[in-house]
Amino acid sequence: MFRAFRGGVRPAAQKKNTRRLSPVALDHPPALVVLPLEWCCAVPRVLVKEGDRVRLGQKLAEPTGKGVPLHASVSGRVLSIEERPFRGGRGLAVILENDGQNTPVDREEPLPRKDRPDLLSPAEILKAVRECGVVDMDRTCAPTYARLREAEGKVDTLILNAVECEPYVTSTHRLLLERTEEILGGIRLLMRVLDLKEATLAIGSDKGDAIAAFQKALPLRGGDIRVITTPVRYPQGEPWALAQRVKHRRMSPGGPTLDVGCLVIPAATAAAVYDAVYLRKPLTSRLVTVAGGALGKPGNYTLPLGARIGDVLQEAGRKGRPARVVLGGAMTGEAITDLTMPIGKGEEAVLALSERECAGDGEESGSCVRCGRCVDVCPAGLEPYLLGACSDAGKTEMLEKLDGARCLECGACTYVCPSRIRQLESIRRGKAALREWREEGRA
Amino acid sequence: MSEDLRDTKGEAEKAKEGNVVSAEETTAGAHAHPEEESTSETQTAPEEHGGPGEADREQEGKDSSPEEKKTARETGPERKKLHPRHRRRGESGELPGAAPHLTGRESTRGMMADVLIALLPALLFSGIYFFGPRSFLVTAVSVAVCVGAEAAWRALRRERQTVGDLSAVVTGVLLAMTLSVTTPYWVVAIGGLFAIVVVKLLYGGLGKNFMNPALAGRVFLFSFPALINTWAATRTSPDLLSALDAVTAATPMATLHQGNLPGTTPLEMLTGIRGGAIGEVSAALVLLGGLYLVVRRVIRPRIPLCMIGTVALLTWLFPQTSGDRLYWMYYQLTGGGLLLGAFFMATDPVTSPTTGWGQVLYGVGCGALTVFLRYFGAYPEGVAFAILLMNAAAWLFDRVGLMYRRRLRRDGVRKEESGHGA
Repeated sequence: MFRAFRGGVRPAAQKKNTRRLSPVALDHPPALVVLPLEWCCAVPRVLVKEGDRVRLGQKLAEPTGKGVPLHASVSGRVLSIEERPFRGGRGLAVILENDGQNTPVDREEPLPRKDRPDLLSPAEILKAVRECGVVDMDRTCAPTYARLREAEGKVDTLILNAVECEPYVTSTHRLLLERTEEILGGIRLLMRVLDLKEATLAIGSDKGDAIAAFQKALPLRGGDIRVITTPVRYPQGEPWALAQRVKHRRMSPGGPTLDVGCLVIPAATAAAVYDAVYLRKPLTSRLVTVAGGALGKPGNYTLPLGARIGDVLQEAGRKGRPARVVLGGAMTGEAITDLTMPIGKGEEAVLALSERECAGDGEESGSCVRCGRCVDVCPAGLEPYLLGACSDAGKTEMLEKLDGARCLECGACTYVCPSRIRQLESIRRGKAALREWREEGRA
Repeated sequence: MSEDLRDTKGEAEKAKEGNVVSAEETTAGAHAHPEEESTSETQTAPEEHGGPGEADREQEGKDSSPEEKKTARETGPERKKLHPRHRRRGESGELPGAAPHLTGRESTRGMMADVLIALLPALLFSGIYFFGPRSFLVTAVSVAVCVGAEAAWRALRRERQTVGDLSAVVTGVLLAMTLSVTTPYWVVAIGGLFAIVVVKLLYGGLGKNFMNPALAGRVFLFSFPALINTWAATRTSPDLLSALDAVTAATPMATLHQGNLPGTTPLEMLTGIRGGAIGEVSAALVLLGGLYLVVRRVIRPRIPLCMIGTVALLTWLFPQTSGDRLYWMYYQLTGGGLLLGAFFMATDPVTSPTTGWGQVLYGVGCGALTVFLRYFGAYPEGVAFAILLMNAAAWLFDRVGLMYRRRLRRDGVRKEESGHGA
């Protein structure tokens, strides 16, 4: 049996609470939303100023260079444009005061036919995708039009990523069930851009109902979209691991999937592409799993982009103060302390973990007993205990020899360590030192 | 991509906010009910969502309270990175709680507890059925000395107590398992002291020793050959105090050492109705314990299989007896401390290699050396020396293992680069 990669871990899925619930909107829409200009591009051209009234879907900023426009995710008034923290840094953001009406912006053009992607040219599709602000809806947030353009001619396999192997996260699962036809429509549009006859939709094996739904929607054989089931061993959901699985060949872990002729797009993006092209609807909201032991009403929520985490958690029935608030999945997400940070296009989950759920981190690290579990689980084939020790000791040259730069920072080693040693943190420091060292060597 | 490697300014700011979060939590008590958080939290909680003005106030609220903490922590060179081992939540210059935010279920203490559970059947049978209650006393003395020595060491050096990780208990039990039931208690104590103080603590404690402590303690006791080489006959119960005049019998290993098949039947060898050390006599129960460890994923079967397989192969290929070579192999496999050593001593993670091929070479080396010493050595048993010598060479085997892994990593890339080009 072909294993896509060595190692990996299977944390407890923790999906029971949210898996069966249909997505809901927030009971009380957020009073304001924070839309960082960086979501547009590095140096955007801002189209609004303080005091302007905006409508849902209205462009707030235009990109100069690579990027996508920034759209208003609610209708209301521009309160201010000021510096705010968000996942990935700090920067200017447009703060909108929500009037709760969600008045959409007018659409002038007629909409194209939904079942005939061949009537559209790739250029038209790319333009619509870009104009509606579609990006890869995972933590990379790369503009989809740019990825498609870059992949033209180099790709023979289009893979839609619906593996979702991280614990707690069920947003893709629900999306697969709620928007089956739209996802298929979006996939066909992507195929049209890339001039492919076939695409693969990879669904994690724990989503039996979604797999059944898609198999029902597609012909038994000879269809243009193939549904495959993948194991949910973390980090199978990573693009490189998925490419290996689909192509049945090995590539450099963490490396670009284009090297093996694959383009991996998150399944949620396919739905966004469908909306962009056939409905001319900009990407202004997304399905987010809000879960964790510190919440009274966990579930999948359709959230407007830019909604603040604090507001969201309050709506989801936050019980007291969670031990940790994580933006993203439980394995790769970022713990945040500032609850005014906004939900972005790439956040699939917001977790409010109770003390018991992240219990291990409070424990003091013991000494390494060289049990080798980290070595067993590392998907990149490295030796994390050595990398961590070298990083801590400052032995950068040794780190280079051990291929420390290849670390994918997936966290499997830290997850599995019985002595609770935080290798990932040490290795990150070591990698930073390694980068500096290499720069110096080149300078 | 990696969120934690932002600019230092951003990190430092976040660290302060993070320190606030964790400081408040630690003061409120890690296990306090969430509702009972510190009062400052209840004041800011209702303000966390609402207008932007309130949001700003919340930001300031967070920043102003740890002003004192900020100055206290910022003294000295910028953000000295504490060694992760000594870090508690909030004290490091890092975010409290970097990814991954979940931890696996295994812990070192859990692994040690599993080892003790695995050893329990063999110990119980020895004490109840084979050698009488003195077995329990020998074990108790060994454990007491080991744990006491480690506790005293830590206390005298004013360090945090480490006996809670149960490794001293495991060492104590394992040491007792390798001894004859007639061993005088003071000899047991010396062995325990040597094992814990010299072999483990002097090298830095758990994770730093290069030889298996229990086995090294056992081998140290070869300094008292007369006292430890009295092997009680099975189904006897030596006197609890002074067992030197217990009823003795030749152990199967002694007979094998002379090149003859021992008198015990194969079934007796398996069940343990024979002479030998407390923990090694019952091959079946040791195997059971080993299997338990494998099933519980405490150990991987690689090292035991390689070690036992090598012994099986070598003893089958080169029997020292003119009789049936299969019998010879069987007696060699079940006799002596081979099974105990293979499953409980050679698999000690600290002293065995960590890489796959390293472990294979190590296991084969242990097996080969065991046979070699059993055939040509002065003592009838070779397992202890074999494992200790292999412990000393474990790093060498890991070198091979690491080289292999590196080749695998790099070759994999090279193949792909030359294959499907962009």
